Amino acid sequence: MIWPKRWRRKGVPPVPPPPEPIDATQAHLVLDRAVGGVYEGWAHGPSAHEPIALLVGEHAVAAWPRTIPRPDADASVGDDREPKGFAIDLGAVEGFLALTSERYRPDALLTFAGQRLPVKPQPTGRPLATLGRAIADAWLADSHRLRLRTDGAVSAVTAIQAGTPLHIVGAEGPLREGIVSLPLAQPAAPVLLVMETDAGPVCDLLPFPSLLRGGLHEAETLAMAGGASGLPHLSARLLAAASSRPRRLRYRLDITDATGAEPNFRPAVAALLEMHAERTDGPADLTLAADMVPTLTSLCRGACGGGMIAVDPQPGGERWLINAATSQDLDGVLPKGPPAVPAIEANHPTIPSVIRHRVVKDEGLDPLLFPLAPDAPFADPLPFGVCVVGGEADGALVASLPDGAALVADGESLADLTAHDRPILFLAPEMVCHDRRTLTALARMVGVEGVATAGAMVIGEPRHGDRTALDRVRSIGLMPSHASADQPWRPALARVVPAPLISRANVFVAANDPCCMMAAPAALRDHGGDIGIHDHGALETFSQRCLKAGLQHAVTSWFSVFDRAPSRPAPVTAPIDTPLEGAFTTAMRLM
Amino acid sequence: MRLVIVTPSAAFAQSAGARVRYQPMAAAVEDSVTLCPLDALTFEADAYLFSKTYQAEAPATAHRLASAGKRVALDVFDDYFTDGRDARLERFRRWFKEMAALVGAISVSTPHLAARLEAVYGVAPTVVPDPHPLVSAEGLVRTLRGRTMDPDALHLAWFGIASNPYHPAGLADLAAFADRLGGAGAHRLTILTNGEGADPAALSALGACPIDVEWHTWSPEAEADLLARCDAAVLPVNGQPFSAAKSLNRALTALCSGAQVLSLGHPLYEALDRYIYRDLRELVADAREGTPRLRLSTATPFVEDLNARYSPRRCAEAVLAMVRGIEPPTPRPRAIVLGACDGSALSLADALTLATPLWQGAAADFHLGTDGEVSDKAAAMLDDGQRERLASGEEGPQLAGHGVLDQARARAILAAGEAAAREALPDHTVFTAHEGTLAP
Repeated sequence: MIWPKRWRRKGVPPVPPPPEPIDATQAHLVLDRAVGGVYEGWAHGPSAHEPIALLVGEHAVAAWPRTIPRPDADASVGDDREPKGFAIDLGAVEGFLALTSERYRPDALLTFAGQRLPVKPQPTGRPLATLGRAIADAWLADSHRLRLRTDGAVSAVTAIQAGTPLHIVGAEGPLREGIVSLPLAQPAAPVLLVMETDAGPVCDLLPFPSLLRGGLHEAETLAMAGGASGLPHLSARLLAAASSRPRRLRYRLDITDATGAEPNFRPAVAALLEMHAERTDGPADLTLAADMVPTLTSLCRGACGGGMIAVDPQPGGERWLINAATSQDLDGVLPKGPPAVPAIEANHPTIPSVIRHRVVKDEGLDPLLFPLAPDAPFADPLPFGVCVVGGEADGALVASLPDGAALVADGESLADLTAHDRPILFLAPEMVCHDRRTLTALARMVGVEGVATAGAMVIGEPRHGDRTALDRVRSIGLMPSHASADQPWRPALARVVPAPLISRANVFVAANDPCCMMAAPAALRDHGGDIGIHDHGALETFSQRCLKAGLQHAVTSWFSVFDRAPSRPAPVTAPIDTPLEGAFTTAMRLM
Repeated sequence: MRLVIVTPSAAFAQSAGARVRYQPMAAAVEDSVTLCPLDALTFEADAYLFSKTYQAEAPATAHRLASAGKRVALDVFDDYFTDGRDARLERFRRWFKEMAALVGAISVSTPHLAARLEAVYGVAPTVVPDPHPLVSAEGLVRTLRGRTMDPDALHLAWFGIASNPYHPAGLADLAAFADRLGGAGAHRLTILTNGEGADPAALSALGACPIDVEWHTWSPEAEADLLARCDAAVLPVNGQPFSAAKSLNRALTALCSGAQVLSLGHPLYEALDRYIYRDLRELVADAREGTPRLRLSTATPFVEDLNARYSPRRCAEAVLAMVRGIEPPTPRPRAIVLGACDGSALSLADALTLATPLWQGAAADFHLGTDGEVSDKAAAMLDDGQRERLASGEEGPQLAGHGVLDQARARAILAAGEAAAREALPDHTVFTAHEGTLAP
């Protein structure tokens, strides 16, 4: 047995070698019960004042004096000179053992005078129970160092992580409130904390340190726990889920265009996945791009939701909770690239499945005008008609259209535009199509079954307050936004621009931006018959009817169009009804 | 054979490319190889090797040299050409395609780069590796004799340019792989770089580096001093095509200074795998045993190995042998259709310059689509029929005075100018000088 230096200094006696078979006059370590992680019992031995020690692996990490009077024990051994009872909260140790796979699980034992009681692996106790008391704050200072702000009552802290060998580090606590650093072997693996306090040793469990500030899953805490006070509760929920999950999560790794610098290649992530999930080339719950790390919620449940938390790790970078609606058929008609959102068959689209870490960089205007590089090949053009709404087409707009794109304005209703059975591109007069491949892409998108309209990323003129080229992205379709003024319990649609969807994403949205939208002829015929071409909000009304009829609106940021209007009024959409969850993408910025 | 390495500017002489690749070669063969910036080019040499001259007039200048009977080649050691996804690099890809079509040979710094260029452009480059730094086996042994390592407190070093304008590299790589330095030991890291080029995202990510970091400004002297003092150079590289095409020079620089090398990420340095580490724990274990991979007993074979593969003289001779094999093409006059470009070295190309509406520079020999004034040169060269055809060729779209609209129209404007030039000047080779991104 190895005793930490500080106990040697304090004179805690080492546990003697195992005695001969128990005799009534020899040592006793009796467990009466272990409920909710609290081990209650009594002990008696040849040495007075000998404490009960906790061994993890071969290391003695804590020692508790026996302080509870037990007349029954006194009577049974015929010695009443000292209290013999104990009640030790080992819920954190049980939880630590329960979370650790058998391969790496150390033995944990209560020992007394050579007698031993095993601590059982089970998800009892409250993780982070000392947060707000002995531990005032906890965070990850860097990729490996756990930092704790302790109150004055903590004189020493030991951190233990499972592994070969067992990782065990200690730090002396400052006399007053202060900060201690504990290097971790695996920054995403459970940490058992043993603190020496004025009231004796206290164990606590940090089951998912990557949920802490500075950790890989920090944004998940933000999205799921609703603030620092919710972290213990979130940890407890995840611990319980991990212990009762029917099976481990199965994931595929898509490393198309990966460079090796992405989070999924980090040893800490590999260790986390090994602990909680199985990689497969067969049917999977989740396909991960190299920069997508599964949320702890997915890992602990062993199942996926459909959402994605997108984190831009640079200073001031945005964090979004995105519930993306996608389809392989849609991806199939657009350029190939690494997945921008995870491909998941989602049962719970509002539960985030992955955290994507990607720097959203201002690279100037060209990559926004041409997300697909201008010299990259794309598909052959398809026929379509053009209907300019809200004004007359000027020379610049007409010149930006391909030869043979017919301007149509015949008829009164939207359905009347479909005489030639070809898709119709609706454009505001200030638009220009700087990249004609955009129009080919839109025509291909409305050819996908179930797609009523297609749109592209809209880039605008510089406006007061724009700081980077990224600020010039005016829309990527319309998404539910603020509550509408007249019916505040239902969201209205607006030009929400989630940074993670800028460039090279294909998703379904609640509606496309009416300034540039291509519509499938069948949808126009079926749902635009009584909508006048020049009615106020005609395209918005048409879009919402399509949505209610189960059709979808697809948008791509692989291509863009340019809007010369200095500003554009908000779209005229009625608040949307629920439940339409999963039919379109929603995005919420995490603050 | 006198070879001039044509560089983009006088300032290029201070760059890592010049310092690492060209100056050692030039020094090894004395007067045979010299460096000269494009705008100061003279025509006395026998052969010209263009390097990083991304100016729009470079292809026409190379053509002029070839037409004058010079041997003209292209050297590439950075891959801005084979990753077709980035719109910002479209003009580099266009430039390479044009240069590759007119030079007699192409050399590259690594087999990986050769394979990428061959796959994308169908060219067959000659691999001429970066030469190794000058070192002798005795000198390296002497250096190693004075070194000791504390396995629990290693002094690690990172040196290099902080960032690249187009690709995540430099400090971004260090930030991406810095977590591999954590877990055990009180190691420390010294970073030597150009502070003004650092990317905020990389700097922020480096805040998570699990060991203590000290920053200093890079200079050749500071680099030499650091490599002489540190235990190991940390060389993280990601696997993007740009980085995977890089040469071994940083690892060779470190090893020749007597430092161990810890290579993280993409296995760029696997040709040196006997001498380098891929895991910090292995380095710590060997340091504890006193048997690091670069040590007294391995120093001599290491230097012999280097001399066999990367000696400056071998590299220079490989370039000279390549250009000797070039057959100069049949001379032809040339014309340049001028788009939006700087054009400050246009006169070197000795070409008939034909301005499109995109051209904003000084007077050209002829303004396409107009029958106004022409230069004396054009007046002397062009007959009336040619002038008429250039004046009346199919007009491209007009400029709109709006950046995005004009960018969308540039391709059609230039195509119309090229078509007019080819029709009017069938004996000329026609170049297009345009430095912006061309819309599809």
